[in-house]
Formats: sequence, C-alpha cells, structure tokens
Amino acid sequence: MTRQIMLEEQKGLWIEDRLLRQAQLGKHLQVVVKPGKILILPAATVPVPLSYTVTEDEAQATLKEVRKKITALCGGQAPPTDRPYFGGVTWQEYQALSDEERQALWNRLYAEFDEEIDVIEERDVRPDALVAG
Amino acid sequence: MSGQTRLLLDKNVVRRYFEGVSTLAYGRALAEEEREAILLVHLAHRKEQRLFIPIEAFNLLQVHGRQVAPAETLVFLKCVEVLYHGRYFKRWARRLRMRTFSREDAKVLALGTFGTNEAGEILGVHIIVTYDRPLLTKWELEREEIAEHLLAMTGNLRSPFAQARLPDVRRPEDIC
Repeated sequence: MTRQIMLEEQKGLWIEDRLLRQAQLGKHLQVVVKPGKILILPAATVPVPLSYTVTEDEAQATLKEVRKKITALCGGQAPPTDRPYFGGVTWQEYQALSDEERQALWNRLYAEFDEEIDVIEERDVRPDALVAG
Repeated sequence: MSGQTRLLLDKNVVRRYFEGVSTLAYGRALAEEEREAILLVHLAHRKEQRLFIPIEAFNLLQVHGRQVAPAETLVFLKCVEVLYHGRYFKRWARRLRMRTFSREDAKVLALGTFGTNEAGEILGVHIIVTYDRPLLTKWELEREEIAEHLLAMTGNLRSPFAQARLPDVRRPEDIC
C-alpha cells in the first residue's frame, strides 16, 4: 500500500518511527541521494571477507572428518564399488569415465529439472529482505 | 552492515563435491578440483557462511542422489540451502539470455541477483562459485555493461529489488 506524507524541511528532516516501521525497512538503513530525490532503503549486507586459507594439516583434518561422517553413514565401511552411481552406471564404471563424459552425464540429469525461464514460478521476497551488496 | 557471506554453488561444483566425497569414502586420492569443492563446502559451513544450490540441483539430488549416494547426499544437504527464483528473476534471466548467455548460465546468474530463500528473507548472493571457464571469462568481460543494464532495470522497482546487485563469479580455488 502506498501512502503519501508531506514533510517540511527545517534544518533537516525527521521521519517518525511509526512510518519507518510501516515501511518495513528493518533496523539498518541506507540513504541514497540522487538529483530530485532521496531514497531511504534497507541497508545492503556487506559480506564478511572470505578467509578459507588453511594449512595442509587443517585441510587433511577436514577431509578426514568428512570421510569419517560418510563411512559412519555407510555402516562403518566403504560402500561396494559395484553400487549404482549417478547416471545408471556403477561407481567403478563412473570412475572410468573421462571428465567430459561425466559432465555430459550430469548435464543430462540436470536437464530433467531445468525448466524454461518463462514457466518458472517466482516467489515473493520480503520488503526488508537482506540484499547482497 | 556486515552479514554472512552467501555463496551459490553451480552444478559443476556440486558434481566435483560428490565425486570427491565418494572418492574419499573409498580411501582413494582426490583430484585437485574435488579437494577444493569439499574444502569449500565444509570450511564455509564451519564458518557459518551460507551456501546455496539452485532448486534444479536440489531436485536432482532428491531424485537421483538419495538413491545412488545417500550418505554423500545427506552430508551435503546438511551444509547447503536451496535458492529459489525470487520476483523479477525471469525478467533478468531473459535479459541475460539476450546477451547470449546459455539458458543455464542466465538462470544461475539471475538467481545470484534475484534468488531468495524459502522465507523470502534474502535477495541475491555475494558470490557464484563455478568451474565454468567460458562463463567466468564472459562475465569478466561484460560485467560493467551488465551492471549498467541491471541498474536501468531496477531503477524504478520497489524495495528491496531497487538495491539488487550483481554477484561476483569466482572459481573455488579463488576462495579456498
């Protein structure tokens, strides 16, 4: 719903709290000044810098932990190598495929779920959604 | 305002992750890209950064992954969320298609700007992670023009769409 309110500038502008709440802008705001208009918008989120630099020991520990999780879920041992894997081939057969063949196999599987752009159903986004900025 | 970094993994990163984790289960040596994909997913998850996959990849894993690699699928899906098509996704994806991006690339890129989570609490991601070299190159070359194109489209949209931004597009090795 759009509502128009007239404000008079007197050494700055004061916007009442209830109006800000009504606009559902969230607690953090950004003010964008453009010729002829000033926009008050929810603040964009600034990402925390990525710092995945790990030592070889840390990398090995992570990989070991992942292996442990998978093995535990498989009953404490590696699954049989003749188990069916992606694309209707066994794990052994999959291992023998080239990277191009594997990619083609995944492209085929992905295509089953890849809808035309025009038939996709869009979802609502909240007015106070955190925007990646 | 600072926030959690949001990363969108494309299909090829998901593939490398599965190939790598299955390889780990058999105690075999990992290829470099498999190792990168596993470390990316688990280190990001540990640092409480948010990892997303397109709904198409999620559906693929629900239908095929759960059957053929249930342990790998379970572990992976605990680390990621699904990114859905938010409002204006289609308009932006069509415009990217007109710039000769493939349908799949246009959809992933549009999801990076107009994707949202199930509750509609977010708009877009900060980084799309991909192994697709042609996509990376084209994005790098055309990014500035595309940003102007996006600005022209979002100029008159209501909040939060007026603030929609382009994501970075990077290889996992540029993050790990």
